[in-house]
Amino acid sequence: MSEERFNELRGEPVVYAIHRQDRTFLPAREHCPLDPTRPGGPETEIPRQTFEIAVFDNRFPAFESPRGAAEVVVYTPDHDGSFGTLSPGRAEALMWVWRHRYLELGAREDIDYVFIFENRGVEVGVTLHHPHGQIYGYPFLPPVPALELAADERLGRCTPCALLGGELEQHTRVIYENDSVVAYVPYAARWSYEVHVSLREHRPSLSECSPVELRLLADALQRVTRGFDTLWERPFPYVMAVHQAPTARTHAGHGHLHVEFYPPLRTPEKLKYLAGSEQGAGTFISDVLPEESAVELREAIARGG
Amino acid sequence: MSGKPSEPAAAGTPSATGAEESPGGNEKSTEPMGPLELERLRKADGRSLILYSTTGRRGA
Repeated sequence: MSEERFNELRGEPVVYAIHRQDRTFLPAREHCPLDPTRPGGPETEIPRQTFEIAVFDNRFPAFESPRGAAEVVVYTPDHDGSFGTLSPGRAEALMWVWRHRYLELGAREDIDYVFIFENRGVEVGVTLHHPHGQIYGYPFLPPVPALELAADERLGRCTPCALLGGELEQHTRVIYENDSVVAYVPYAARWSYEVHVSLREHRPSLSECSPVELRLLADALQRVTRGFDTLWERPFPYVMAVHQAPTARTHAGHGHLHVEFYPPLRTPEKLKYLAGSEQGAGTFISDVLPEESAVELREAIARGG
Repeated sequence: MSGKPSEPAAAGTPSATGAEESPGGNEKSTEPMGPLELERLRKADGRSLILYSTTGRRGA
């Protein structure tokens, strides 16, 4: 069981999950715990010879019942590939899985915030290469969604809606759009190739999305991730963060579904490190203007299909 | 909205609250859900495993 402490100086929680030190770390391909179980072989996390999408409790959880949850979402039985290379139907199905997990975990009294995310690439700490994401059910409202709620208070309206309106008006940082979803590099992006993907209509969470919106959200997310890979013709590391309304009774329904990508690369070979200014003063110093990375990503998405 | 999130009635799916799992068993319980159905299993160490599969029914 993890231990939560409150950092008074920063006004934020810190979670100690010391058992995670022993978690599986970059196993050989033949020992991937997210592969299907082969006939006669050792049982993996999924005791079937094939499957479509699997969700299971993390063996090394940062949170667990009765104080939160930590789940692993395996996108495909195929060890190779990525979110971007899933078939459109599988990506659409994944949106429904996310929606189901949001509803089921969010209904629990011990979970105030359901956070769906994917870490891709060793650059952001991936320990298993098999295409997968994770879900944390936080027993408290974490600082980032709390900041987003505070932004709504400050602006007096839904901030993602306001930001999207501005991006559509200027259109200089929009990199992809379909009938329901818009992807753009935000005006004040912190990462060189940061991308936000937002629903055109105000939707607090996946649970309010229509089937068409879920399909078009999957389309936009896949276009963005394939564009990332096309940009420099290399697998592009990122953190993909799905932001939705908190599920705590006190905040339920307040928020706007959007997906944020934080890629750590600033050139094909150079990583952006969180160093003195970012860690010590909380101010990102970026090497690339959002308008310029938007042009690059827009072209890469057009090439990447 | 007040209270915990619940499945919108318009989605045509049953409430997703409550895991309905069978302790220690590998019971198959299908819950239609968009284009998906699911199967709930319990691993030997007690952890939950859900297998989602597509039914061929796509959203409108």
